[in-house]
Amino acid sequence: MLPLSLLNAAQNKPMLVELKNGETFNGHLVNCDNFMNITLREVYQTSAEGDRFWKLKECYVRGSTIKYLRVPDQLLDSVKEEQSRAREANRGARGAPGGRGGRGMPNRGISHQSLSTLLMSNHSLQEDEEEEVDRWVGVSLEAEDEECNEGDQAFPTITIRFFFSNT
Amino acid sequence: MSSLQGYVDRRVLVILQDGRVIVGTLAGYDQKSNVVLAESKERVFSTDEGVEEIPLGLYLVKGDMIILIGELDEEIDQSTDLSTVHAEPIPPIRF
Repeated sequence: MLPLSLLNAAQNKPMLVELKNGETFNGHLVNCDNFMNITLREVYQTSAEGDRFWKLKECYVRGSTIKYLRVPDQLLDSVKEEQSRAREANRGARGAPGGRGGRGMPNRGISHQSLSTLLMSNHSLQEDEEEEVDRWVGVSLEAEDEECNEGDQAFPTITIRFFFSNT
Repeated sequence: MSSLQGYVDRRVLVILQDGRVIVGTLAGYDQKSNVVLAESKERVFSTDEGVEEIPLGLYLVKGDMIILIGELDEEIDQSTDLSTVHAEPIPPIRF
């Protein structure tokens, strides 16, 4: 299991973050990214010496300054469960017929549905490369539920994960 | 290629740059050696008292902070009475 999938699953959960300088932040995870940059809400900040405290409504922590994160124990089981479900779902979808997918990433207005279709069709294109296909056991998609319009500066983040078997 | 894959689901001992010693079950890792430690405990060494074990739970440690990861020989580890072990704590190389 990847550390980042654990972190992603920790959204809205309480956590403790210790920075490399020893300061700690206790709060609920609002958001995180692949650099482990995180935002927390309702935060209790403690100085490295443990003698001073601050309460913050919300704060952003740069991933590179983090020493470790402590997350609720139950998360491990829920992530493992979710991963095996995703694997199972993908096994069911394997070999499904699909048209030829477009090259590269489409950029705007893409739905979860069409992205899945794209990945499926690219998958079926590789059917002859048995070894490659056999190692690939699952795909997961995550998109932020944001509307994006023509001319927007920011794009919603779409994360695509490929799971490989260990053998 | 060196890999942590062989340590997955095994009991490991991790030493951090701040001198902390953490034992836990390696639940996962990534390219940057960030690790997930389940049922982890910190071992606090001192010369005049035995080793103190502090339960930490589920930890995600950044690869930057890690000095070493080693597999624990569970048989030897379990047959060791930590309260009889007296040792200098490992000095930090960064705080």
